[in-house]
Amino acid sequence: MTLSFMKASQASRPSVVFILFLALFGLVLKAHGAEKHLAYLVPDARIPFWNIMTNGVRHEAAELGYRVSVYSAENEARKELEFTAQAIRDQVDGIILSPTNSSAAVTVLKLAERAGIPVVVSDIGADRDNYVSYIKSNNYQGAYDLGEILASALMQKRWQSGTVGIIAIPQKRDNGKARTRGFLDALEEHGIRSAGLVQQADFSYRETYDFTRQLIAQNPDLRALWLQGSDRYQAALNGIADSGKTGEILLICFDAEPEFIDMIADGRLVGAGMQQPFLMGEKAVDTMDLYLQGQNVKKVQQVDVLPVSSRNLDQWMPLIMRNVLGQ
Amino acid sequence: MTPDDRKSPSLLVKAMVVMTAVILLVFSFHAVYVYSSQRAEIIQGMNRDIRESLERLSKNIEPFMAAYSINEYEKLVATEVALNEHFAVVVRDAEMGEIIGEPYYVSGQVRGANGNYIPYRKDNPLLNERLDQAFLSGTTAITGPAGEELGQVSVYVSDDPLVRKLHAVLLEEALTVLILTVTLSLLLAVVLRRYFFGPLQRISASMRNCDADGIPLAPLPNPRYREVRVLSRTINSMLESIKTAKEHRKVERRRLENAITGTRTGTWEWNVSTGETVFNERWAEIVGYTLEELAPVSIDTWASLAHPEDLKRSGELLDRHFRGELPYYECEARMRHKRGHWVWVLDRGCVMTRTEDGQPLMMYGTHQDITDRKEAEKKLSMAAGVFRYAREGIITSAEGEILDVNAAFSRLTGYAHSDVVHQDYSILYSDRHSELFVTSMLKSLDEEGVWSGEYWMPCRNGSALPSLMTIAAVRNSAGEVEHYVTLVADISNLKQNEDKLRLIAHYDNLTGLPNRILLMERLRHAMSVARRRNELLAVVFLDLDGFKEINDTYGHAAGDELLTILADRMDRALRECDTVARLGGDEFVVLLPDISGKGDCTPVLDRLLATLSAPARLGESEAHVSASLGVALYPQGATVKADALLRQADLAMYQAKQHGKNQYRFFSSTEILTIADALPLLDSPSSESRDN
Repeated sequence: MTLSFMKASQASRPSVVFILFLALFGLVLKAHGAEKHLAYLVPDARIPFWNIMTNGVRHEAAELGYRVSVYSAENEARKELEFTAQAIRDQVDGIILSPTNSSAAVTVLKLAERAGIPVVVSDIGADRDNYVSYIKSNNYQGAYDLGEILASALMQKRWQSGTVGIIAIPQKRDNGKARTRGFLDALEEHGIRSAGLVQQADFSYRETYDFTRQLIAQNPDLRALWLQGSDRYQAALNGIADSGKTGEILLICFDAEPEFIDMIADGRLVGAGMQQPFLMGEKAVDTMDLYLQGQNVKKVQQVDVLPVSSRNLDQWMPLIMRNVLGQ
Repeated sequence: MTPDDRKSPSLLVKAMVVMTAVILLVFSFHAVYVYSSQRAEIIQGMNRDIRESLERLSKNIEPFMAAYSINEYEKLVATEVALNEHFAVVVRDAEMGEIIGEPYYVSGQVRGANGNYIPYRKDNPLLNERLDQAFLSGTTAITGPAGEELGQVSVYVSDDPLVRKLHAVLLEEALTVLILTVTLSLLLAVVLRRYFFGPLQRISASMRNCDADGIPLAPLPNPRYREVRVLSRTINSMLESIKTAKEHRKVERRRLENAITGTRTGTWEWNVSTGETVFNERWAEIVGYTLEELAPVSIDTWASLAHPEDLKRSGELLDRHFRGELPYYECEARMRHKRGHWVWVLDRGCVMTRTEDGQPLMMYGTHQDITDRKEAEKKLSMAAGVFRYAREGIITSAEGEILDVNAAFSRLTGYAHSDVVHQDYSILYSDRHSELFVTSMLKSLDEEGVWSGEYWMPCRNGSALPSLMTIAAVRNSAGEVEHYVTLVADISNLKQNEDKLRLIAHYDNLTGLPNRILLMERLRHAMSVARRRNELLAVVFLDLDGFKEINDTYGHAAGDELLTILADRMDRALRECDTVARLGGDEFVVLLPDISGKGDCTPVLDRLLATLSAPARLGESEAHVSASLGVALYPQGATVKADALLRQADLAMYQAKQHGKNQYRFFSSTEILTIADALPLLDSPSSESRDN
């Protein structure tokens, strides 16, 4: 729009009139969803990542004039289904879905499909593709970039002969598989070996701590840990510390927490692959809007993951603040 | 192998078809049995699968249903459906139904018409209709850990697996049947071909190597196995029999041909219904033609050559034969010879085949030229006439056996036909003929073939018929004696005439006593016997005394009667062996053989004197005469002939006359010499006149 406006100022008078008409039409278009109702099904709005994405949804919906109802399932399948039934009963015009898991998404998609309600899936995918579009982070790219960052850090410390342990999110998820593949590809390019991979199940502190201790114990040459999530970074740090490896094992994470900015800055954290939930929320609403207007939308849309390290932290700080932290 | 053979069905193929059909039938029954049992088993298995699926699904779905993981249990359902190829699985989720405000949240998988599974939606009538088409189904409740009902799961099974499995069973059975049928058929074909048809084909090949009559040239092979071996051996035996029969038939045919040719028999075949005929060359030859000259031949050929009268008779005989009245047709008929004369044929035949309604169809027969026989019969008839009506007796005989005699023979001898026919010729031998006579007769027959002479033919009454018999040997064309013909001519009258002549010549016509001729024969005979036996013979010359007076008194008739009476008296007074003969007038000579001396004579002489001197009645008169007897004895010292001996007795009688008559005197040579000189010779005609 900024670009369009600049181009309009350089046009002739009839053209100016036409452009003004278009601008007015655009405003009308911008507000065309005001009479429509969207539902956003989020796993748990209490979690920062989902909260930020919810904000992105709300923000963009407000921008486009949609009324949006946010249903946080608090990671309970029954609630998610009840909210889905509720949304269907409310005869919403569209559903933005961040499912509790890709399997649960299938039922939501099925119910919505039966009700004739379009669904745009955001972040967590679905085991079926009967959605309008799927907005997801480019996990491979983000993980690959993180691998590059870690490799660079290891080589800088001449620890490249050491191994890297991976505490991964469930690999049955597409995002988990993409992250692992991108990260390992980067390490392989640099000749850095993996010490092994363990998968989180309950995402608890204890689980992450134990995995950290286990990997360290089993791999004496372990020089780095990659935590594919963000919220249990402290358990990993404590595990390293309790193993007596503080300063000997680097930690790098996927996703972001507000405190990561400082941790990256002071070197406790080598880097983080920061998704942009706010942007994803916005993009989901935008996509639904386009669909409801009859526009063609891409089935899968990927949002870049920001590979943040101490080197580019300052540069990307504005994007981090808005799209990652939703501030 | 002929084209017909090639067109005829093959036994091997037929056997193969039948055996294949049997195998197919047996295995088909087996397949039906397997199909039925498999069907029941499959349905049982389907029910078991349903139960197992329900159990498995209810168990596995329950945690997902409790956790509201709809997609997870739907994936389970999809997996279960796909793995077990169920027709449909429908899950009714009560918890989820509560969420959406319905009794159940219904989900599941249904196999579509194209075979792909599609999600079940209870509001889709087509899917519900599909469910109704399920072959089997089962439903079970899904209960939570506390036993609360979370929902239901239903499994539907179509008959597709059943059909598919049954199709597989059918296919498997069909393939099994096919493979077994083909294998068994091939095996059977190999076995049949090797052990049965092979030997049969070798036998057949051997049988095809045959002569023009279809008889194999070589014996059939002798296969290894018993059944075919027996067959081959039996056929060989049959072939040997056929060959033997063929040879026999050939011989018989040759014999028949030879018989036909040798007997110069004409043959004919007649198709009665069409008139077609077949003659052999001899048939035409009998009437002087060749077959070529008679062609075209038909029954009309016969009709045109046959004598009209005989043709009519032939037709009558044929009709009788056709009607079954005569077992054979036989007719002697005349046929016009090419040269114009008639020839006799013996036409014989017989209907050999008849139509279904009994009408004669084919008739076969012969023609024999019997012209010569007919002529012979004519001659024989004439001869028979001679035989029958001749006055001479005729005997035919052969090899010593009487074959026939005619009526004249029976009339002459009194023998009936049956008395002598088939009897030995020797019964006609007469004991009146010496062995020498018979030997001479047989020798003449043997050497000259004929004998003729007088013969005493024995008669049935024991007498013998004087006959002039001629025996002639009848020879055949080879000169061999076939039989003899004996002609017996009755010459009894001739013999009687001869006897009469002999009587006239040797006996006195008045007294019946031997005359001088016979006396001289007997005298010489008696002299010979006496000399041979050294016996004495007395010759008595007798002359009646006073006979002249009788003649003169009573006439010559009375004199002749007296002579007859006296002759009879003398005959009775003498011995059997004595002879009394009348020399003529009243002179008699008596021969007394077999005496020992003069003394033996005197009794006889006395009796003679006595009987002669006894009175004899001549009518109402009685005559008295006496006799003077002169006796000469033989032998004497000197050789004396009969005439001289008789003259001696005459001289002695003269002396008795001289000494007073009615006495006898023995010849004495001294006493007689003077008398002899004074008397004429005894046999001179003058002596008789002197007696008178």
